[in-house]
Amino acid sequence: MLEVKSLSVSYGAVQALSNVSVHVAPGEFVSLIGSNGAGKTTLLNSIMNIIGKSKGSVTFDGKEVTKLRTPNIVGKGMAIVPEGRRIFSNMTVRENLEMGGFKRPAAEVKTKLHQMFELFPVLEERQTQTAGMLSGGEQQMLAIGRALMTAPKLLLMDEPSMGLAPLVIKEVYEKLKVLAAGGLTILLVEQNATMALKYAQRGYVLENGRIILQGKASELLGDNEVKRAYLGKEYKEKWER
Amino acid sequence: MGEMKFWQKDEETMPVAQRQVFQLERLQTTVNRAYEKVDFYRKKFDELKIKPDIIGELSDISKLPFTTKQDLRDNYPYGMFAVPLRDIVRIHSSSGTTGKPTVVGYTASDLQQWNDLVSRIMVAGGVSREDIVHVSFTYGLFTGGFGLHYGAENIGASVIPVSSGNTSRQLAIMEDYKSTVLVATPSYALHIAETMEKAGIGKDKLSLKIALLGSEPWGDKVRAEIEERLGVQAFDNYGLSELMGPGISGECECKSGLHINEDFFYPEIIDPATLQPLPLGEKGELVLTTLKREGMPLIRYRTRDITRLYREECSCGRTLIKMEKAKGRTDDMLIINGVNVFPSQVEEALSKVDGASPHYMIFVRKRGALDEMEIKVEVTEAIFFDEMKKQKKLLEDLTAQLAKILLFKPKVNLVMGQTLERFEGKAKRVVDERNI
Repeated sequence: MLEVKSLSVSYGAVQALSNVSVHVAPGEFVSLIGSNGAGKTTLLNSIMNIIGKSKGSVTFDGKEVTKLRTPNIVGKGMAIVPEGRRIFSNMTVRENLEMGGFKRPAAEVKTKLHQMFELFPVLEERQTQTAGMLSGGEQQMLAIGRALMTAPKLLLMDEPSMGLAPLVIKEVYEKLKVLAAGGLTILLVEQNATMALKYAQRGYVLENGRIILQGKASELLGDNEVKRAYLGKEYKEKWER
Repeated sequence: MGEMKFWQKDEETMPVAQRQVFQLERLQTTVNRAYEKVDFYRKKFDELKIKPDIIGELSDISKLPFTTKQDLRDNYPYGMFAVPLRDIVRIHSSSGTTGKPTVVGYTASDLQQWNDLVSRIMVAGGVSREDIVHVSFTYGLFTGGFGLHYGAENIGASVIPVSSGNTSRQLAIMEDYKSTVLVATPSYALHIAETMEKAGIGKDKLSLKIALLGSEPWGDKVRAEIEERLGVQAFDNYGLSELMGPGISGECECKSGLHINEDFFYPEIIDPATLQPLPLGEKGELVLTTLKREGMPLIRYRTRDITRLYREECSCGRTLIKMEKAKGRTDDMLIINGVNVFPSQVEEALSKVDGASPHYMIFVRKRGALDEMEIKVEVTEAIFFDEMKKQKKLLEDLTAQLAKILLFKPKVNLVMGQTLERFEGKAKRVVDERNI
C-alpha cells in the first residue's frame, strides 16, 4: 500500500534521513522504532510532504505521491496523527472531530462522527467539553478520531505513547489493534519499542537517520541489539566490567 | 498428516516484484550495518569514496566492492563481525591449513534463519516431520553437519547425527533405525551403495526415500546411479560456510536447478576476468550478498563457483531464482570427497619435508565411488635408486605432513628427478581425470 524508496531528507547541512526504504502492505501493522532524534518524525512528515525530500520516492496505492501537496495526499487516503497530539484545545471535542472532516460532505461527517463515538465512547461522553480539559489518553483518542474522520486507508502514527501512563498506553494500542482488525493499515513510529513491536507484524529500527535492522516484529523483540538500545536492558557481562 | 510443500510459503512463493522491495530494503540495511559496524567495510568504502547511500536501486549493487576469502583471513578471527562477541552464539571456521582460517559467527537470529533456510531446502526435496534423517556429514567446525541437522530438527523430523566414517556401521544404523532421508556427499552416497552391494544387502532392506546431497559437484549421470542403486530421489543443495553453510540454494521436486533463497542472499553473476556483472542467464562466477545476516554481513562475496542464473515458472510454485548446479571454479581449488584442497597446500607440505623437491603433480581420479588423490613428487636420483631406507622414510614423512595439512591421507608416489613435466609460465600441476 505504501512504498517509501531510498528517501533522504536534509535540514540545511544536516542529513536527517539517509536512503530510507520502508513499505507497508495492505492491512499490515508496521512499527518503526528509534531513539530521540533518529529521524522518525522526519520520516512521517516527509511522507506527508509536510517537509520536503532531497531524494527518493513515495508510492501510495500504486501511484506516486512524492511531490503531491499534503491535502492531496490526505485526499488519496493517508492520514497522520502527529506527535504530541496537536488537538485544538480551545474547541470542543465534537468540533475537533468535525475539523478532521471539514472537507467532507456534511452527511458523511455525521456518519463518521457517529462511528467515532462508537469506537471511542469517552469522546461521546465529553463531546461538549473543550478538548484541553481531556486527559492525555483521551486527547490521544481524540487525535486518532480526528485523523479517522477523513476515512483513511493508511494511518501514520507519531509516538502515540508519548507522555502517557503505561495503562493508558495499553488502552491506546488496544484501540489501534481494533482498527487494524477492521482493515486499517498502520505505520507507527515510536521510542517505546516494546509496545510498538508487540502490536506490529513487522518492524524497522532507525538509527541516526538510517535503517540498521528490520524484520518480523517478534524477531526484533528478541534481538539483543534492540534489547540493549531500546528496551533498557543494557548490561555488562562479568568479563566486560 | 499431509505432505508439506513449503516451509515458509509466503516467502518462497512471493511475486518477484514484491520480493524485490524486501531485497532493496534489506540490501540498504546490510550496507548501513556493514559501514557502521565493520571497520573493514568502513575503510573500504572510504577508500573508494562511496557512502551507503549509493544504493538507490538493487542494480546499484554493482557499485559496491567485492569481498574475498582473503579479506576474511586478513581480518582473522573476529574482524568481520558486526556485533559484540557476546551476541554471537555459534562460531564455525574453516580448517585454515593455508594461512589463517576463515571464521564465521552467528547471532541467535542468524541461527534461527539458518535453520529455516535449510528447512526450506529439505521440504523442497520432500522431507517432512515424519522422516528419519540420517546425517553422515562431518560434525564439527565444518558447517555441513550442524546445518542439515538443525534444519531437519526445525521441521520436526527425527535426526540421527551419525557423522562421517565407518560405512558398515552407517549401513547397520540405516537398516535398523529405518532412516528415510540420507544427507551425504554424492560420492559417499555411492560408496554406501557399493558397500551395500558387497555386503549383499539389497536396497529393499533400507527404508531410504530421499537423498539430500551436496558439498561437491556432481552431474545427472551420478544422480541416476544413486537413485537407482539406493532406491531414492536425490536432490542437490548448495552452500558456503563463509556465507552461512548449507541452505543457500537447493533443488525442488522438478530437479531442474537449485532455487536460491534470494530473500536472504542476493545473487549476481560476474565475469571473473573483468569483474563486471553479466546479464541474467549467462555463465560466470557466482557472487552473493547477505541480506539479513546480523552477525557477519558480507557484501558481494566471490564464491569462485561457476554457474548460471535463470528465472522460469517452476511447477513447484516457488518464485525463487534458480542456479544451475555449480560446476568448475575460478580458482584452483579441488574438491576431494567433499574436502576442499588447494594445490598450494601440497606445496606447503613439500616445503616442510627435507629431501622432497618442489616438483610435483596431482592426479585426481575415481576409485569406485570415491575420489582418489595421488601426488607424485620428484626426488633425487640418489634417494630413488640407492637409499631404500631413506626413500621409505621420506615417503612416510611426506604422507604424514600432507595428511596433517589436507586433513585426509592422500596417495603419495616418489618419482625420479626430472621425470615430471616442466612448465614455462603458469604450471599445470593438476590432472583431474574424474568425469563429472
